[in-house]
Amino acid sequence: MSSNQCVTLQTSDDEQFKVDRDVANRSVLIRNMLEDVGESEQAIPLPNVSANVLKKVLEWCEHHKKDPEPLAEDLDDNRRKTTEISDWDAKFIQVDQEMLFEIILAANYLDIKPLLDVGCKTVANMIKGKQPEEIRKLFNIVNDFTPEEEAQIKKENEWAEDR
Amino acid sequence: MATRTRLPRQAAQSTNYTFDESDGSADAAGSASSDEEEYGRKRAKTSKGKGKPRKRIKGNDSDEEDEDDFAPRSGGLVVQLDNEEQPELVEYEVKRVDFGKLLPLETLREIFGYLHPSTLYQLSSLSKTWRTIVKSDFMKPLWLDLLRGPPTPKTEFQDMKRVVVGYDDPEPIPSLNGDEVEPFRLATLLFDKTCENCERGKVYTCDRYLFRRLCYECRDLNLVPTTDVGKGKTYRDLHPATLQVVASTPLPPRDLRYGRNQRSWVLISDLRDASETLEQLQLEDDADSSNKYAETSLSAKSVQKTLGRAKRLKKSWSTSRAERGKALEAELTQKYSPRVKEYVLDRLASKEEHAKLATWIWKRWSSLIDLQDVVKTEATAFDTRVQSYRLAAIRKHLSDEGIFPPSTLKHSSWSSHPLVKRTEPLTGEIWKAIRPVLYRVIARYVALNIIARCGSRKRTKKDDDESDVEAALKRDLLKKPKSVSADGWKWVRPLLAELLKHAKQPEKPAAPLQQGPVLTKEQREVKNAFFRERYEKALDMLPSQKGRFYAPRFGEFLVCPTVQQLYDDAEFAVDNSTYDDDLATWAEHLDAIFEEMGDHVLEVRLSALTAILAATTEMSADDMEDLGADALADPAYNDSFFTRASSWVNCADCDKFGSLIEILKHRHECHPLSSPHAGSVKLTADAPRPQVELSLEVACAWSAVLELAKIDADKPNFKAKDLTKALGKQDLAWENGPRGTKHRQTWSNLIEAVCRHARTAHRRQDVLAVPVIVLRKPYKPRRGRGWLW
Repeated sequence: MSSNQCVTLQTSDDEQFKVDRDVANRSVLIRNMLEDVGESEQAIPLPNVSANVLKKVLEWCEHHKKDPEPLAEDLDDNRRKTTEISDWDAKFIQVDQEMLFEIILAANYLDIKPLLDVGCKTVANMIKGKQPEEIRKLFNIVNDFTPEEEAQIKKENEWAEDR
Repeated sequence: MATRTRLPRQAAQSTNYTFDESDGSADAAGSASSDEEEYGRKRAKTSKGKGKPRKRIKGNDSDEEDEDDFAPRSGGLVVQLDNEEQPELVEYEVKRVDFGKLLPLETLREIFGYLHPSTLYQLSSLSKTWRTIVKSDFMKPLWLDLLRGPPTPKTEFQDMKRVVVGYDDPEPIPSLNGDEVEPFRLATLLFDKTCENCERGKVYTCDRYLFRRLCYECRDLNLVPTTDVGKGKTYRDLHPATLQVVASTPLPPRDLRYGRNQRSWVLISDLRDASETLEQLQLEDDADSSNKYAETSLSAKSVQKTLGRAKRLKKSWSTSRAERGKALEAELTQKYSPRVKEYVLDRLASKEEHAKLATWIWKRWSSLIDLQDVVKTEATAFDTRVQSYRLAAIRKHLSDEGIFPPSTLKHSSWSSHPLVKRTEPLTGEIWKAIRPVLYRVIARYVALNIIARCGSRKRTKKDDDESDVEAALKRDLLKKPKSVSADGWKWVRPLLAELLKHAKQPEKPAAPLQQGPVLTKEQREVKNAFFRERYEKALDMLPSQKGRFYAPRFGEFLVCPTVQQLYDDAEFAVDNSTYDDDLATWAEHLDAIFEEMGDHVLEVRLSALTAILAATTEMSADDMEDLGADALADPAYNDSFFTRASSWVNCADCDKFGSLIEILKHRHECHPLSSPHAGSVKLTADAPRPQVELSLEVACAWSAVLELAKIDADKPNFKAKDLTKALGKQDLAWENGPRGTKHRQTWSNLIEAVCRHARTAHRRQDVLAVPVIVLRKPYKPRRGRGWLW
């Protein structure tokens, strides 16, 4: 199979994208499907990904199509995980929260580990160093604890019986 | 309210505002009169000329000299800006997603893996959903990883290099009371910020020995040293075994009343609870037995003493002593009744487990805190990055739209606007929302620039009074300058009109005092050179070198009445061609000039004499006033008087101390009252000021120094080297001097210090205490110890 062969991807909103196989192969899901199906003109359905999200994901895949596969020891690294992101990735991920989480979900579904990492690191960076109130405001999280529940939590947090 | 006048100078340097001829009628300032149109046309014409670009709006006065264009902006408009003005903000909707409900647990765990455990713990307080997620069993391995830290690399030396050969698993969390410690539960102890006692969120570190999170105030109020339990009457009624079972901590409260020797602290509430339990058990044991048990003979104090002794023995390096310590503790336990003994033994075993967990926390804590700092730095770096991307995106939008030129965008302060500095990505919707605000910021900057740069205008014949000038100026300013585009003007004009409502002409400053004749630079240079030359000649004509020091300095020479009269003559010595005539005129006045220079010498000597007598004698103020030039004729105050040690004085401009002639020489050399720049002279207005000073404090200190050196103060021709020789290797110290002056020092440094501090005190309307000066023997040379190997 030639490497510059095109693959058609069909999104949840029935839009079709024609991409190079190199680009599509960044997704483990698509790669496995292509390996299973073999050469076919049929579009690969991606029911969990919408067109605008797939467009962004493909933009990332296009830029990273020549990246080497991560080594096994890198995946199982014993060192502390850092949240460093390359400049291009950081710029790429400058999107609103809705799109950011859509990309994370799509990367998870399409099994694009490096893209998932970029998304997770970005979310982690957004949370780091912030107080609970700031995090609530940032992600629109409603504090639904009742006063009784808060008192219960405080009691749970004490180490009374272990002293 | 504080106000300020802002002139945006940077942009004023780079941008020239000239009015646009064509746009004058089309813009919103259509009400401009024909005069204004005329004005605009003329301005446009003149701006086409070669040479320097015109920088300011000029009125209908083209016949005026060009240099008038750059005259001070006395007629300029000033806008008073409110210093505390809040920047304009706009609310816009941002899509925010509670991703706890959206993302799968695996992905959440992936995200949490990048967080510090303290941040992860904080997430549990966001909402019920988040608490469930963070506390779930699915997150337990992650919690363990985060709390235990990464594996430690195992290294070996191979080929002269240290190589990582594997990883050691991190130390496991010790069990407590036989059970595994829940990692989330441990996190509550480590990272919860609420004080258990007062429920205020002020706890920064947990007490790993007491397993409590208490704020500083509660610790101060509730912790007591174990030694107090033994000594005081307050805790006399406690059960003797209380101290043995209660948890103690070596972490002291902040309260400074406790000494450093206190090494162990207990909580009062723990003491009471433990005592109550023990009393209950004791009662049960007493009920079962007819005999009272031995602890009735024990007291809290004796138990505290025994425990302290046992603790010291156990800490010993000697095994036998350690054994003795354990035996002592066991012996004490044996004295309790059965139930109490059982309880005590149980508590001791529990305390041992607690100690293990406390040690684990202690080992882990510092690295967790270090990690927190790293994470904070990463967070800051991320925020900065997001801000820079937002800024770059906004800048791109602004330059793409091209409403304002790049130079304006570069200098205006839009980039520091809060809407720009937010740490969130810029989307199309956000740009649409903040765009008007940012354009208004830039337009306001341009409007202020126009007012600052062009807001002055010469008064014309058509202007009847001051208000007309201002009104005309405001009308002129509302015409579109060429440098502002039509799109930009739409933003600038409303703001300019608004600002002009508050703009007004500043009050005219008072005219500066006329100093000397009005001369051109060249004329003044010629005049100064002439007077400098005459001054040098006059000095050369003096009979002795000493006389030169008594002579006035150049600045003082210029204010001698005759010299000043000639200097102020606008036609005298301003042209080299009339040099001979000027010289002749000078020669005519030479006698008068020499006479005045002689008067100056007398003034100097008289002021010095007055200063010396005021400080060293008990002459009254009236006697001082009566001192005149006749006094100098008195043989008692002749030249030898000023060479005596008791007549030494300070320079009036610095701390230099010496005889009068030395000080005058010093003033000619170090304070030469003339500008170092060629062609300019620093005219002195303070010529009548005394040249020398002698404060009472300095006179006292000096007298004491002379006395210590056994020098006759009234002997003429005293020299500094005489004193140095008399003192030998001894130094002096100012015993009652201010801070930093009491150390040993040379006599000259000491007198200078006294002079300096006396002047400071006089400025505060104060005086120094009479200085106590003492001799300090020379340092003994240390006996050589040789090299220590």
